[in-house]
Amino acid sequence: MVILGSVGTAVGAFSGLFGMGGGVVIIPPLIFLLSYGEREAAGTSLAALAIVASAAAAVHALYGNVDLAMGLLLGVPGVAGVTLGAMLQQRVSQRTLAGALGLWFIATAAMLVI
Amino acid sequence: MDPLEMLLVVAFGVTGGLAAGALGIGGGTLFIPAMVFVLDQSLLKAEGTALAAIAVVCVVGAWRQDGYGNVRLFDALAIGLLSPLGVVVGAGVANRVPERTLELGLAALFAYFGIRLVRRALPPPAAARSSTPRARPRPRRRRGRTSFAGAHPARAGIVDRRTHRLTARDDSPVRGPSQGT
Repeated sequence: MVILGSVGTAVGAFSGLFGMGGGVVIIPPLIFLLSYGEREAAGTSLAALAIVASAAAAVHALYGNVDLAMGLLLGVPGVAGVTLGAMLQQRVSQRTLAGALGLWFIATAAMLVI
Repeated sequence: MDPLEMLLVVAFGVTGGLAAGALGIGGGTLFIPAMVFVLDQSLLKAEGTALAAIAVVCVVGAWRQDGYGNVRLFDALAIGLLSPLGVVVGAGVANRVPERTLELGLAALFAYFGIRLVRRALPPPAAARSSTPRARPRPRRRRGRTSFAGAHPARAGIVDRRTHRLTARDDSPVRGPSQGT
């Protein structure tokens, strides 16, 4: 529970600092501290992000920072992508997922430095 | 918006969604640049709109993943509901630590986790594989004779003449044909 609380706080802090959802903050502690498999970490991370992103988007909408048409233009293909991605995830090994996640993390680190 | 821009946004949406569904990241890393660089939105509006898109994508993604049995709902709720506390902490940190220092610190942390995950994906090294104990080869049995220890009392222990019980040389009972199983 302490770890989960710390992860939740870190996700909020990350969102507050960089304006992103924070999936990259949720996944490592789930895998390395709570011994989640890659699939479970991804599923649980998405469920947590659904809460975080909904709350943050609602606050942004109150301030008039949400363009609904643009959101749909990005969100509808995103829904198709996430359905396909979740389906594909069941067909690859956990090792492949770990490798892909690792590369994603390294790319995010490089983006932060640049 | 011209058709090329629209196509680019759709491509960013699908790619972000794919990454979200397969890896469990939100997709903001792709959605926000799409809003800023392709749709020419201000950063604030891009963040708000991208977050709305991420929320929809994550709700659908979590629902699909739950169908596959990959969601621990209690843990997700604990993380999600405690995150507002972190927003306050994050805002406090942002006012005290230079942004570049934060970026570099986080980059180092992400690089570390990235390397650990890549190593997890690699097969174990040959040395580790060879160090695993192998089954010892069984001694070859001679034909026409059993190798049962109790078959030759002199080797296994001593037979008591009165009780006909077989005992080991250190006086502990020995399992043999005279005792049954």
